[in-house]
Amino acid sequence: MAAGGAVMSVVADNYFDGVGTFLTTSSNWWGPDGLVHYLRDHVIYTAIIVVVAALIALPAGLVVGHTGRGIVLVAGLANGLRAVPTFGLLVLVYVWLSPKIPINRHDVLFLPRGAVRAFVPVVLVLMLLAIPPILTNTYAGIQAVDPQTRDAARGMGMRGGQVLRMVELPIALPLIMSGLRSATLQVIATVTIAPFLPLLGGLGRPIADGAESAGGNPPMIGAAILVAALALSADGVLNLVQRLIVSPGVSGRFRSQPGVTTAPTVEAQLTVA
Amino acid sequence: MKRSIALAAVLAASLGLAACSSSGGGDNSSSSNSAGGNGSSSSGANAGSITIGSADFPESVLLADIYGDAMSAKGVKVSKHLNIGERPIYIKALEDGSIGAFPEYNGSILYYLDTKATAKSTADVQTALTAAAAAKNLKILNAAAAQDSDTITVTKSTADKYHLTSIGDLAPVAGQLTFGGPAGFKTRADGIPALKSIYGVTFGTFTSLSAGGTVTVTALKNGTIDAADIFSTDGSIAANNFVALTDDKSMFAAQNIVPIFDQSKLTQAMTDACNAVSAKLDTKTLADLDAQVAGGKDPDAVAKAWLSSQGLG
Repeated sequence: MAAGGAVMSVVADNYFDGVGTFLTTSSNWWGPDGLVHYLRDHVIYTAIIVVVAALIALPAGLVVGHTGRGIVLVAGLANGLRAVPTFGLLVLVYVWLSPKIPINRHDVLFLPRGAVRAFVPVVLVLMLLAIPPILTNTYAGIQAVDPQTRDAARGMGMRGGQVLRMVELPIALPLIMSGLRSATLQVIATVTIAPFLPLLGGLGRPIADGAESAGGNPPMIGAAILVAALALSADGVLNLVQRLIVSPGVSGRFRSQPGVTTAPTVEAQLTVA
Repeated sequence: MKRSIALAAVLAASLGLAACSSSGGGDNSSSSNSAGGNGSSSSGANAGSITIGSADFPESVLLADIYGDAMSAKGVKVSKHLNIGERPIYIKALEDGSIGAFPEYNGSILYYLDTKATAKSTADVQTALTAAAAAKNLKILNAAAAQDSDTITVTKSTADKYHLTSIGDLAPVAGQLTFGGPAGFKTRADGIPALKSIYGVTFGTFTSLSAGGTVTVTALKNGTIDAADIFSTDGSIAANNFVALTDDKSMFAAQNIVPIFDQSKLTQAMTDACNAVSAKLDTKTLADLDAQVAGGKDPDAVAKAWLSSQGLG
């Protein structure tokens, strides 16, 4: 019985053993297999994926929101994309696309030699994950602009593009930013699957490798903790950016005139949160 | 997942131990004695009956079908208990008598039964395994030529370009090459360290490929990696004209297919039937049969078709 109890406790209690030691040992942080290098790759991958996704989703969302055309199509598409099994698609796209990419034996910027063929599928597939929140929040934000405000802008003589740029976009900005934030969080969490393809790094590397080796728990859990920390930091930074770029009149932090309310945007933020 | 299996195995083992010690060792030895007598006397008319098990991956199921059907054709009463699970579980089943036979890989089972084993070549592994198995009242039959072992595999064009036939040929060029294998390969004793100490081969880059077959094969085919760790019976080797470099210094332990039996249930008819199969089963044959199963055919149908083509079924 005593022996049985000892076995149980050894088997059950040691998930986090060694994680603290792993994270506080400086040799685990530096060098080509160090956490700093993985963290750097993780940030670069995430930034590229979110920027590419935003370049597609933002203009599309603005046009759809402004014109009101294609909402059903775009909403259906965006929701469909959310249902895509990312990992399966990644392997599929890699097998199909990578032989077609002509760049192979070159170092490209931050990528090791040969990694372009694996990196492009990662960007494409994770982009599909990042597009829906940006796209839907953008058109929903534009759509939520009070029709009276829009009419007033037109009444002042603004053209369609001016209304979008000077009235609708600033008012929709909090919602658009929250779309960007949720896309960023999702990509930070999911880009951990990148190292399942050859030569790619990021914080998924110690997770993927740890799962296959004895004593792999500390690096796995340590890296997972870093992913969570990175996600929180990124969200904090984007929150700051949002405070800086959203007009005080829209965000409700500007209250020089008592009685002025900013109900629509507050409501919009609540629905997203 | 693994942890819970390990826990279950530990619990099961400790329960089993408790049962053994309470019922007494004398009981145990007498039963194995009488069973041994049975085995030798029944070589003639009585072909006996046996339950053959398999692990839960396609090649193991196929092999259980092949050996099972071959014995069945020689008059043995065979029942099958397929897809049992991982090694700790089915070895336990073999020890407690709920199954009587199992298709194994001689290297893997040797290193499982004897963690201090050092044998590498087929002959050495068979000798060591026969002894290790006997200690557990298990009997090893003849090994097939077929092996499902790790190989260092390159594309045909890489092999032609650098004139590669054995792993040692990589030594002068490996520094410029990228190697892909499972994460554990980087540190395990018969992985990267053995490549260096046995063959003097050090690859320029190592990348771990966790997603298994498809990604590894794609990466090798499109030149993202130059060499990969692929199993010798993997159909992708033949399908893509890959070259599996020969391991002439036995870096990897032999992994010949070998049937393992509960000694008390083994009869001469079973031995003859299984040895006849092992005599004809080579790596290429097994890879072809694996490919048919991977293509969607029923393993038992594949097994029966091959046995009858060899005059064994």
